[in-house]
Amino acid sequence: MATGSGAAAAAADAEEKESGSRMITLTSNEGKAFVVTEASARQSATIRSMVDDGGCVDKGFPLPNVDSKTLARVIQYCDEHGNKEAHTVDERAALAKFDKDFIAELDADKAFLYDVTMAANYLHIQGLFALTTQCIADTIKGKTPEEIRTAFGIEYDLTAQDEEEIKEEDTHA
Amino acid sequence: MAAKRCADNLVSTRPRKVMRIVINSWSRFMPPYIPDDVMFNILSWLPSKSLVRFKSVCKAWHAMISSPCFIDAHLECSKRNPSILMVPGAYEKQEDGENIAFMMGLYKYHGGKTMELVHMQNFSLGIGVWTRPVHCNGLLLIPTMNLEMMICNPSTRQIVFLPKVSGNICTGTRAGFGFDPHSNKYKVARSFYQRDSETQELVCKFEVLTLGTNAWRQTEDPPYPIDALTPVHVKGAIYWIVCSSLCPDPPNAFL
Repeated sequence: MATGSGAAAAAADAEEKESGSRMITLTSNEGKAFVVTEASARQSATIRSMVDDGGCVDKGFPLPNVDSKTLARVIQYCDEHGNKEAHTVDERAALAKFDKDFIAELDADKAFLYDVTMAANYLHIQGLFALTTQCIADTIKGKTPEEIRTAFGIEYDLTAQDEEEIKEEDTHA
Repeated sequence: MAAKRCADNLVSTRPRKVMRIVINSWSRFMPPYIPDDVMFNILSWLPSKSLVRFKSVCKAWHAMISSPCFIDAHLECSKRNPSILMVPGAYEKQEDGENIAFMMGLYKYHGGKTMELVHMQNFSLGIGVWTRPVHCNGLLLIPTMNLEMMICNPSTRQIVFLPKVSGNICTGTRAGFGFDPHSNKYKVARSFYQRDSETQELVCKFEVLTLGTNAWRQTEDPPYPIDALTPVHVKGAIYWIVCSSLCPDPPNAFL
């Protein structure tokens, strides 16, 4: 009995080790293949659930919504967060610094920042999505409603009465 | 010829070029389409001040920002970057002819010895003496001088007045303010003393107001007399201190 459970544990351990070192192929919408570690791919909840459901790990995952440039950048994030430990204070500080530099670079190119945000949303990479949405929020924080409408191409659909009611809400309520 | 054209361009396109850069940087910033759920997440990172302003961007944004679902998400996001608001337990009285203004300063604490005055709130009804404002999830409950209480949201500067409380003798009344995770509602609880009509003895009473409803609901009398100390709210329960002089063997606190 004892040997049996010991063997089972060893088997599970071996399987875990194996799954930890398994490689997964992600394919961009241009057909370019990116090979990543499973730990890195598991940063994406979308891929994680497909892998856990015993999906097509060997065949790889086609990502029709993500282009190569964006995918490469997303993988850069996943590699850092998936393959490195974050147990000690130093390790966590290193990751925080990585995030800071990563987002500073993205912030310089808003169109790309948007692409990465959409990819993070599609792939459900929580940490990356929080990072990029927070960055966009910082960009629009001090803007006026008019500037926001221009920035996001939003049509102005409030009547004078609506405006009045919103103002009213803010002073009383 | 080529040189001339070049020079022409230099002169004529300079202002246009600036324009083009502006438009480009905006249109680059403007993605083709941001899905609502992504926008929801972006907005939930914004400070309340921006959100109040962005309510007038369009109908959809107004509806999103005002929705309870968004308010919850925003509160969760805010908790990740908390700030400390300092509210002195004192107020300034400013007399201007007939008008008396009660000013309460709200300060943001920056660590160390630095703080910044973010807002000076005028409470025209006056602020109750001997009471401390109590807070919950960034909202402040402030008793006024008469039988009214108000709740102030310092970040949006909104003030809501609560319905009048039942009559009582004024000593020893204290209010607690908390969030009940079971009903998802804010509640104000208050202890006060009333003179019993038959025995003329002081009886400790208790009443609760659920925010969103319009009436105080009297609960069972508390098992022990409550001391006139501001209660504390921790994780969905309000703790009161039992008056030790009136009760020989008090438990430390109760809900």
